[in-house]
Amino acid sequence: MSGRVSLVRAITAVLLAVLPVSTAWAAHRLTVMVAEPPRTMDPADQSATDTSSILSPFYETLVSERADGAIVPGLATRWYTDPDRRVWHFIVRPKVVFHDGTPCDARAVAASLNRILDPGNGLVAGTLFRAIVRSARVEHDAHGQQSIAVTLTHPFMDFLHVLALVQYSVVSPKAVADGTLGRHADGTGPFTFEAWRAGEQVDARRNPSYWGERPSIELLRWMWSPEPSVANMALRTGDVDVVTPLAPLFAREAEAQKAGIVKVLRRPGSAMFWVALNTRLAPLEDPRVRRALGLAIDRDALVAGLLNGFGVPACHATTPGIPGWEPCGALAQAHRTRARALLREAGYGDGLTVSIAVQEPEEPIAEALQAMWRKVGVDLAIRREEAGIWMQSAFASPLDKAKAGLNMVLTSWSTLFISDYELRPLYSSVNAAPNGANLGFLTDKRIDAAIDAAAAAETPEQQASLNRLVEDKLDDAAALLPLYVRDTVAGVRRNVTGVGLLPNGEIRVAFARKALPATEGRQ
Amino acid sequence: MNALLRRAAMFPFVFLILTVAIFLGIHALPGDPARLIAGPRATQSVIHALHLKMGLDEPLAQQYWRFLTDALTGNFGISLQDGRPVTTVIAERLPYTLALGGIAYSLALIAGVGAGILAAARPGSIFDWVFSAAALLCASLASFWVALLAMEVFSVRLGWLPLLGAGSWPHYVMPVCVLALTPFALILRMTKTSMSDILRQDYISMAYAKGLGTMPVLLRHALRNALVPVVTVAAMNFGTLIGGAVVTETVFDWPGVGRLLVDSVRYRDYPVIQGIALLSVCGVLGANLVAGLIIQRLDPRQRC
Repeated sequence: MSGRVSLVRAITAVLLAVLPVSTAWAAHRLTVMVAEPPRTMDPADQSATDTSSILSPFYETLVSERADGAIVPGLATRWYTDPDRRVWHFIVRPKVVFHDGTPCDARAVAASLNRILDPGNGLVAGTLFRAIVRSARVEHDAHGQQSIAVTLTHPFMDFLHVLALVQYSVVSPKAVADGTLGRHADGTGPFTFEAWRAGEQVDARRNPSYWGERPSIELLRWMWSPEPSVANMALRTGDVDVVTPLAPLFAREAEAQKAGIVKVLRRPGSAMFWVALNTRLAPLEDPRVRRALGLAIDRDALVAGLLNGFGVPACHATTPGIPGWEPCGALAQAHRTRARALLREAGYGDGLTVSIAVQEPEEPIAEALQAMWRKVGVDLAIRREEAGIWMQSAFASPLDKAKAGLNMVLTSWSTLFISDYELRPLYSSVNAAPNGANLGFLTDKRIDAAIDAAAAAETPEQQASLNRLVEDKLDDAAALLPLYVRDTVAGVRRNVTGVGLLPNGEIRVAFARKALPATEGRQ
Repeated sequence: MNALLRRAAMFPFVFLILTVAIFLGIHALPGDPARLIAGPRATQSVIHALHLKMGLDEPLAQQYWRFLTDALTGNFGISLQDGRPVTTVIAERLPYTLALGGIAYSLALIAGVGAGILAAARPGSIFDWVFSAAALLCASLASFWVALLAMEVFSVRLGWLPLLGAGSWPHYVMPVCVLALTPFALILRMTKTSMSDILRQDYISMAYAKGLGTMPVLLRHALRNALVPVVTVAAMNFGTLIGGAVVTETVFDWPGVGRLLVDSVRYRDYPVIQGIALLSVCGVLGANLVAGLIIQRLDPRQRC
């Protein structure tokens, strides 16, 4: 009997000893769920929102961007530009080392940037970078201090915002030489790569030799699920601490429960949903028809019905946060009488039929447009397509779209504080599909010139007015049908703080903090 | 010549025909893997560079020949998305799917055959009524919906079972049950029908007349013959396991081959899709061979 009592006491003692440790450990572990798995561990070989979020704790860029868009030092302690704004000089932070122990000096930074510039490497981030940057080289200043000189192809006001993107992170030259970067992250960030279990999770551990502020979280785990209801359940059970994006329906539910275990983080986003109009195919080659379709859309209803209010109506080409952005005003509501008049004027008083290609998750938007346009005599044929098939339809040439009788493509686009990236890829002549994302084949030299002028702006005020000029010209051409800009929304357990959201949907959790929940604290 | 050997001798031809069908079927899928990997921001020159890098610029016949000759040596190529050998990528995931599918299929077999015997032995009884209704329900319910419902009830509300992942045995409970639903219904109905036919045979009446009890008659005399069509159907439906795993693994965040297949189709990762399809074909062919062996044991007349 006494032996059994001793055994029970021993087990109790072990449990009492282990429980506080395990609860304390829970406070140092943060699990984040995103929608998609990472595509690679190489930041320059991807352009996906979730992959950028997952890679951000491993890597650092020369300059960093705060959630409000302000540029702050990163691996560069300071920077300046030549008077002609074509050459930028960055003083590299001393005594920083990569996770593999090699030094992160000016030579490593230059190698990292030149790797992206080299077309032979075929990196995804190279396309846009080469359009702006000509070269990066090591130089020595008057005090013998090493720095980096980056030469641009033309003056570009938002260059620092570009440089702050995860894609342009500084990577270890040794990892590049070893060819391991695709599967094993190797940067200078506050977390080191621990494991990537394909189909399961990515684990990151606090970097003990990080040069900056020490993260409070010891182990960071990333998981993913494409199913919004599963992500919401995982948040409620505590399997994960953070979910992004949180579907509008669940976000509304969580907001309604003021004392619930989940809080909702939201900020104005840059993910614009819009309809690309095939300007080379009747009846949309007529700007009056395109304008009529725009007037028949009730954007307020779209935001209320499809986003549960987590977004703003969009009527122009730019998004909130970009200089020159303007709210819709009266254009957010439908103007059916004017729409019908324009259609009559264009010779479609008896109605017309147009087709649209949509991906499955965006079908509700197309159905809403179908109902709105029916009221002005426009019949919308919806082609619901799987992602790969949709991509093929969307990027088809004018001839192929004409053969398929495709008038429109429902699509979305997001960038991070860089107005040129919101305009040039979508509306400049050179990017007309299949070469780029100008899916409606808009070719207008006046618009090209306006985009170039806006990109060369020297001050935010000048950029705002030049962006508005581009928007005016796009509005004149009725070249697109913006619908709405979705807010960036995340669900976070109430004991977690310090989670940062960026407008394009990326999330920053490296410096998040997690308190023990009250129930765990009592154990 | 033994029927089983004749069937086995045909396998190489079946395999060859299926490789052609798989290869052409996958390459006929609309959608460019290079565009999907590079994303909408990539220009045509980047897409072209990726085509060269992935070997997608080669003629289709040349790509097929390379795929076939490599596949015969166990090399399924390099994943377009992952950059690692396909065999490595699949090998990482396969144990999870085998464990999940193996347990689910075993459960479906045991429960389905057991329930089928009970329903057939007592026609019109409460067992018959309950099991027939259960079979109908299991066959009709969408596994996706059942999975979400189970997660809401057993994980979120009751907190009895873990929600996601494959870390420990409690993680298996919900995915196994969901995956077992459809084969359970099929095996139950097949066993019941087959058993009911057998129980009407003269030799069964003879066995009862000799004074044997119900259990010996059912298990020793009836079941052996009733299992022949059940084994055939179970083997033929082995391929549906991958189909079921696609849904189950996606919902339960299970790191298996089904989920890998979803991701690979999404990014048109041809080598991985081909690898999984061939693996599935080999699985079905292997299951049919095993089923043939079992059937020959159960019914020696099938040997010639």
